[in-house]
Amino acid sequence: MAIASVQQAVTANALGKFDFRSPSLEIICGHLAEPRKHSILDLGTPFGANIEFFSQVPCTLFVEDLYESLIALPPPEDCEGPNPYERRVTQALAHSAETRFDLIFGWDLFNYMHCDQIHALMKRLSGSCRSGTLLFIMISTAPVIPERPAKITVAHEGLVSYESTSAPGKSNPRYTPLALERMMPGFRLLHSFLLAESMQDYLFSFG
Amino acid sequence: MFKKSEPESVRTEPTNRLVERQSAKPKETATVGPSIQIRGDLAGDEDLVVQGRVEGTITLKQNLVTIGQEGQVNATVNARVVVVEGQVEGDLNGEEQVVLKNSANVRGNIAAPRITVEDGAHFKGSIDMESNGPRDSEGGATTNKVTEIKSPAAPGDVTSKNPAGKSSEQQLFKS
Repeated sequence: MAIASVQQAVTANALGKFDFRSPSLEIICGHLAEPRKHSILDLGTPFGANIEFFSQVPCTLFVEDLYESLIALPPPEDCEGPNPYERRVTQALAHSAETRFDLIFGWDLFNYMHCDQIHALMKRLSGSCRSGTLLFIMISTAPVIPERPAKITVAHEGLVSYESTSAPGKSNPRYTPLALERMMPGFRLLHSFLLAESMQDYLFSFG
Repeated sequence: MFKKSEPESVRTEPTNRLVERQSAKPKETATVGPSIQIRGDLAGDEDLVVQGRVEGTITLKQNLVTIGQEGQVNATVNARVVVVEGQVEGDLNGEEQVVLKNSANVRGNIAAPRITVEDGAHFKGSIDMESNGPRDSEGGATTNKVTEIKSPAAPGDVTSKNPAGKSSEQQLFKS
């Protein structure tokens, strides 16, 4: 596991919009440069800039837009039976269980998920991973985060554009690398880099 | 002789004008109104605006199909251009382009040479970026086409090279 402090904010302003370089994303771009068709899962909202970015490589892009359909739902009640999170995950995911992914983009969604949600989601997704499937997520280390996930887009190879879409006001679970690995059986941490504005990127590999 | 030929020329002139008028006439557009519900297959040769409910298939391969803001479609849509402002559950196949406006809510698979997604659109499904278009004669590589990605909130979002095309994996997503 390589940990490096990058702190390369290229631009920043008071509105919560800034760009920074993500070394983990650069590693992913290296994988995307391989001349083959990729299978990519985007768990976040479909932003035009990201679809544009992915469109530069031969791929099938799967978009799940999980925030509204899973993450923002109130916690399950007792009457929902055993493994309510797993059932909700199954209902929320649109891709078929037979689909296999090379790359998964979780962006900053894990900051907004209960640990049981993450565990249920990654347990389900592990069945759609190959050996070497990469997972890219961004974890905030700030105690308070915006109410909703930010608009995170790939501005250029390795350059991420981050834009808050809501005011800070949500308590941040601040998951540690160890906690994340426990929540994601089968995934191991490859790289983690400190970024600007209390953000840290993580690159996990499956298998 | 002279008198006989004159009427012919007189007849010919208005016919030509009629052809000109027809070609200059705007394309017919059919509308499925907000109170209309259709179950079955829709096919034809004119543009279509759906503001009501449609279940089945819509096939207008030479035309523009617009799913309006009030439209609710549970169907596979095959058209030259598909524009979605409302709700769709089903696959969207555009011969030229598929556009998801910021009010769109789509669950299905998209296949088109050009795909436009406005920020704010809700979408669950797959987009196939592999081209089945003309092949490079030397290397056999696929020829990239162009995808436009627009964002009303960020007008800087632009046009990029895109190997988008028809999908052979259209059922990868549950629809």
